[in-house]
Amino acid sequence: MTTGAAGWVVRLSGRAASPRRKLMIHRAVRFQVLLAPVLMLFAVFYVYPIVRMLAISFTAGRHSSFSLDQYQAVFTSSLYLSVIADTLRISAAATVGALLMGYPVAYLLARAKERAAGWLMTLLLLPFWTSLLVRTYAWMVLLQREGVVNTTLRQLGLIDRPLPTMFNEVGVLIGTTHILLPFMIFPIYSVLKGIDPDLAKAAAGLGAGPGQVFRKITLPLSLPGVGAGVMIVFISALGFFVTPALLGGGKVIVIAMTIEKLINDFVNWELAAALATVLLVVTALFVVLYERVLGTERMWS
Amino acid sequence: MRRPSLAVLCTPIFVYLVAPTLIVVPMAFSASTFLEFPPAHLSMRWFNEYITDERWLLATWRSLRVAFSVMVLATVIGTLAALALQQARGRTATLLKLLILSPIMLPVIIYAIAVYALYSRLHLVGTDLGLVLAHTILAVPFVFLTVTATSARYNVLLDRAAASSGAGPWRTFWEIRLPLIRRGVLAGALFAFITSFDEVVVALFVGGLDATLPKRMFDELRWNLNPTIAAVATILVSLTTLVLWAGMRSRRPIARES
Amino acid sequence: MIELRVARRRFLQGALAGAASFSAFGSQRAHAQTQIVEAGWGGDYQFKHQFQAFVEPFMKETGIKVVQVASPGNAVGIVKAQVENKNPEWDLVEVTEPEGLRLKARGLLAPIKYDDAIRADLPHEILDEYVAPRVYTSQVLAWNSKVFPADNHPKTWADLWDVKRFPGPRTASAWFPQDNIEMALMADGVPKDQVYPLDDKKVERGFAKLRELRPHMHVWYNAGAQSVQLFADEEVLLGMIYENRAREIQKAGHPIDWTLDNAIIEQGSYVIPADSRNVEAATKLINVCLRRDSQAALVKINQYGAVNPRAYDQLSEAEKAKNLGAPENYRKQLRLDARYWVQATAKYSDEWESLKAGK
Repeated sequence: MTTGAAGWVVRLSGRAASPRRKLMIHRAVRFQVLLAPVLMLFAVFYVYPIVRMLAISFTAGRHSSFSLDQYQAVFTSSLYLSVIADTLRISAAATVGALLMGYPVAYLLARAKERAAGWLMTLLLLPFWTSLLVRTYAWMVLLQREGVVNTTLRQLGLIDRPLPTMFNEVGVLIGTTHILLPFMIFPIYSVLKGIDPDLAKAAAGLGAGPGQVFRKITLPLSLPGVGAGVMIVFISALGFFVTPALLGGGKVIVIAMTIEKLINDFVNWELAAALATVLLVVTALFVVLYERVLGTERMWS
Repeated sequence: MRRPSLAVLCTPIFVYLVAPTLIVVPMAFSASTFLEFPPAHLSMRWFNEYITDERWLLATWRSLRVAFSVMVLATVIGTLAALALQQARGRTATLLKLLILSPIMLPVIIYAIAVYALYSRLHLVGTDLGLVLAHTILAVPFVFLTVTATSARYNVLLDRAAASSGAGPWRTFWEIRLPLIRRGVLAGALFAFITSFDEVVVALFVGGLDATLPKRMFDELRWNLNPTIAAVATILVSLTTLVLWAGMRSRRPIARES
Repeated sequence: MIELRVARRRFLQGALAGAASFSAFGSQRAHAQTQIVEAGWGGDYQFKHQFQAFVEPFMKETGIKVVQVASPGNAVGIVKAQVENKNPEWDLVEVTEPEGLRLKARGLLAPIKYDDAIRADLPHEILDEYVAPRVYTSQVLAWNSKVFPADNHPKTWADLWDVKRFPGPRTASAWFPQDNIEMALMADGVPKDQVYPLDDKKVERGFAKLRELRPHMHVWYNAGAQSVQLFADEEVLLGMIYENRAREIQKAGHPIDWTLDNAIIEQGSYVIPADSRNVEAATKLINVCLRRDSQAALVKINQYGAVNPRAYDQLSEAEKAKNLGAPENYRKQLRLDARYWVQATAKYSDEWESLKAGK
């Protein structure tokens, strides 16, 4: 194996290499060659811009040196603090809603027989693959005062005045939860599916009732999936822009909207960067918390 | 005994999941300019609007070619990375995996403005190249995940066996490994395409004046809101359904294996 | 059937156009000499009405191609980014007068040379050296005329606050505190002629009054077109919207009425970014836009108010009577003080956002 890159390296090393050493060098070179594209791409177009943005957040203007002005502005502004708080609150609420609705669906899917599971999965994939914009638009149609939901309820005689479900936090929550629900279902489903059915059988054989089997075996074993789902949904919700912008009627302001306004309307890069950094830190804290609670390896299952 | 009640519980949830996607379809056939449900009169005018409007078509075309480029680029880069890191252990490898997967873990607005700030300096705003690269960053984690998932089942001994029969590394990859991870690669490619095609936030910032389809739709939702959006949405939903249905049909024989 | 045939032909045209644009690969500056880019708020107003009224005549007269693009809402940011990064994309940009003046204050605009004919026609105070007038629009009090018929409908801004006599969801414009503050002050009893000059105390009074209304504000609309949708869907029943949008709603057959009394009339403007490579051509387009016949055409086509007073010579009494810019109607309204809002918009932006969010 003195051909190619490995051979070149071997010749460079100046001594007759053993087959094992050749294999190791070969592997190392191949490792680096395979990784080079992704590392170069990520370094230039991912790590660099984000680090640069962090740096911008610590300045006071275009040509200034280090300054904490932006962070001071953020943490002394009742508007920005309340926007951050609202964003956290809405994201948490959407996550809880997604969990409450997602777990039963994931459980059903994991237990369903193959053909039914196929159909259910297709039903689930349809909204998942549908564009975010299409689904937000659909909610605009559904939740209006004269929208589908209200007119149906009114025809059924259940209400006589339209429900306030649009252009407020309720509407934003309904839309956001809907869009993120598949992201909660998939990780939970995948973990549930991987649980050995023999465990449940054994427990049942030893006299445990179905409720106990669930509580003592299924639920704890499904926690990594729950954790993954919670993490993905919460973090995605934190950064949501389109859905709150369209369903909130200008009355629901989340951090992504504020960042967008600072950049597009006021061209205040530094303050926008500071807010984005705050969001980044919150995200990182959450990921670290998750890792502590459930362990790093589990994250990548 | 429990299952019927579980199914009953899940039915409204499934309705919640699926109904919005379907509701756009009747909207698209409404004759009225204003959102009206159920539509009083039917018409194809919004489909006509879409097909005859140069701007909508250009936006669609731009989304298609950007998404296609992203699909190719992200699949190649992501697959190579997945193969490299698949057998690797140790702290470096874990950190690298974390790095490659991190774009999914990051609220996209952060990345959007970071890359917009950079692109403003590099004059990449509004260029296809810039958009493709940014979308590729967002798509690579998905390819990485799917290829890693199918690679996990790949037996490394097959590599050794091929090597001992005299096959070079490239041939080993191409003829033995690739067919086995093909499903992961294809799934990743599909994810990459859809990630780019549907992406809104980054496109809003760095897409520039030539809109992508999602940017045009977002602008229309914000500013115009006539049922042309419903027509576009219906076309997209129909295509999605078609792809899913094709996927379901082709998957059935393989499903039995796994 | 015919529709389908036409559609097929147009689709091919569109596909070919798409293929052509693919070869240009996103660059719009292929022929800097013979084309200019006009950026506006999009929709029919830009692509059909303004196109018909003066863009198309301009193209025919000069042979210079005008590429119209829509960029609603972000004009200031984009122009600033464009000029600061020396990235000329737009040659002519539609802005509100305060936005134009803000850009001017930052030195981001190119000066505009008006033709002598234009200088003769228009009052000199509106011919700013960097911010050209284009049209007049008005923010009016509008209401659903089915729910609030002729004998019981809101007549003044104060009525917008009267939720007992006129209950229902309301709307107003979201983007800036301007217009909203003026409306609130007039609702609070300040006579139209005493609203200006604004100062901190008055603005705070306006904010306080707006906070009273906030619980009944169903939505702050992001764009004129959205306000049309809101009224048409009966998502809102009354509010402050642009007059030509109200007309659009009425034309579509929905019950709406409005009043020009105490409406707020404001200027829609054109600016040329400082680094545009086609300043001369863009200036020419502005001058064409300000000609009497172009302005008269704008009035006829979509009821914008003409900034060129002599345009009204070409219009009939009936046409003048219903146009917001005609002298007899102009008098009823409050002319927006754009200069005040140049500084104040940024100053009050946080408070405005807080108000909308209900904090």
